[in-house]
Amino acid sequence: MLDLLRKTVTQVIFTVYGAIVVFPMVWLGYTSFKTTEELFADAWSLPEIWSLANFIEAWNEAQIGDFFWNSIFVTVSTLILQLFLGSMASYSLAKYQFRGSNLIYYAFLAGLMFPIFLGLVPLFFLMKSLHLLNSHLGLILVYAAFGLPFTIFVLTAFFRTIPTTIMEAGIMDGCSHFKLYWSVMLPLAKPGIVTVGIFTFISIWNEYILALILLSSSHLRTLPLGIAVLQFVQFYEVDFGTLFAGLVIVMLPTLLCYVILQNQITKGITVGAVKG
Amino acid sequence: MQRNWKAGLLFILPALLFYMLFMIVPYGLAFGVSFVKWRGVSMDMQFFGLGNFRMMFSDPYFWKALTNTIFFTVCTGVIVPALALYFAVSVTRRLVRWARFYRITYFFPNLISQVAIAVLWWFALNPQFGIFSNFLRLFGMQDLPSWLGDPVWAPWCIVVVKVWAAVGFYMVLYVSSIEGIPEDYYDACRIDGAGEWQAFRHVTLPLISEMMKVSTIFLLLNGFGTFDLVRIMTDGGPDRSTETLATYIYENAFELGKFGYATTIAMTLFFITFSLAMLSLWVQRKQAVEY
Repeated sequence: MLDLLRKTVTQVIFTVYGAIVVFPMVWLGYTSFKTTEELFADAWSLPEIWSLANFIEAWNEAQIGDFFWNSIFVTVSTLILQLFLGSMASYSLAKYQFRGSNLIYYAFLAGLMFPIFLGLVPLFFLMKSLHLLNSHLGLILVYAAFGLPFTIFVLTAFFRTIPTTIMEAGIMDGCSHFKLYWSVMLPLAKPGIVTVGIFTFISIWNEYILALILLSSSHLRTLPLGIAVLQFVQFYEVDFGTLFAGLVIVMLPTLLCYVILQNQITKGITVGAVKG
Repeated sequence: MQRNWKAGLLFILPALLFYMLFMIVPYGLAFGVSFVKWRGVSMDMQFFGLGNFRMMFSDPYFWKALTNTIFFTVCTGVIVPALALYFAVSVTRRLVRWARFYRITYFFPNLISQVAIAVLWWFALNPQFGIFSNFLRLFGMQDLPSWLGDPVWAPWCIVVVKVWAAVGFYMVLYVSSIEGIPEDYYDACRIDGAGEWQAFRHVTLPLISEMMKVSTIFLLLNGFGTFDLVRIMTDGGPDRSTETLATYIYENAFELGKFGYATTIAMTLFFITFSLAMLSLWVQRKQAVEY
């Protein structure tokens, strides 16, 4: 009897919290098809007509389309750069032994502990003096550097699990060091690379503060930055439909990525945290 | 193990250069900048000694931001792990049906940009058309506050949204840790006649202590770094009731141009976070339990 009561209570709590998590997103989803007048008339109702007008306006007029491609460009470039640099370094830290290699490893790990706000002001002026302020290139370089500690943390742990004998066989066959890394070790580390890749994708796609500081021209904005500015503007213009549509556009890619790669992501969190 | 140090170093060098230039250099400079008076217009900096720190200690807004930040960190630091642990245990110990479904959906907020979360809740908390006020009106409640526009309610709204945004991640962390506990221990518990609570108290909790340590550090860093949500939902207002150290640093540096002063506050933020992290590790220093 008591057991049944406890089970029911647990089930109710889970359902309620589930609704709290999911409903705001569902509400956002169908409201993005409503006009602003409809929204003010009745907050709950479904749209009269399922019209794409908000999306078209957001994509074209509010420049969300441009921001979307900016985000794609920045995210993909960061991914390639960061995974390339990070995997090489991790491979070396895991498989080569030389003086100072441990020190370098811990220096990278220390980067996980620094709050981003400490380095913000000097970073801004560093980028300014390198003429990399207000450019995608600058943002990509900074993103890649900031992502390195996590990449190296996970990938070094991963490379360590690959048996050294495989490398020795490669050396015997006269493989060059780079070829050994590129065509033997990298393919073996694929699961680790994919995990880090997914995490990097999600965090760069969603990043706000560095983009806010490093980009100033409106045509360079990434999606989160664009949405934030749009919210600030719409506040005075009271045209919320566009903003709702913009939100859906920024949220969809990562949610889809998660639904498709659900297991990989959950596993990734474990790799990242347990090894720590 | 390879001993060819030249090849090994060559592999690390590109990453190391990047890391040094864009991370170590700015962080290193931050230590210097906090001791200068600097408006950022030119490289014209005057050595200010501890002047910035003196200014900070007599700045009422700094104290307001500090108290708010502590408030957010403490609230989320208590609510998030409690909820996440409850969910994680229920899901892994099969105390709830459709556990897999909940595991997936509860994680959703962690995939969304903090900016999108902030705007979404800024909508949801709108006193006119927001779902929150409208939901309460269904129960006949009238004269509702304007939530984010009300200095008493705004900080609590931020806490709620922070919790909403974070719980899923910590749940997944705890789930992964609990799943590493051998089923035998729970079988032994059952044979001894221990209930679910006792199993939690004497098996689960001690065995996930390592993960609790990790999550405490995450929660600290996250709480003291509260920025995106506040900046977009309230921009620190109304009446600075939600101002955090991070938003105050941003305001000083990038809106008022007081770069030296902003870095001084950032430095203080760093030292507080760092010492609290060390303190929490020391408090939880007990050797990891392995039965």
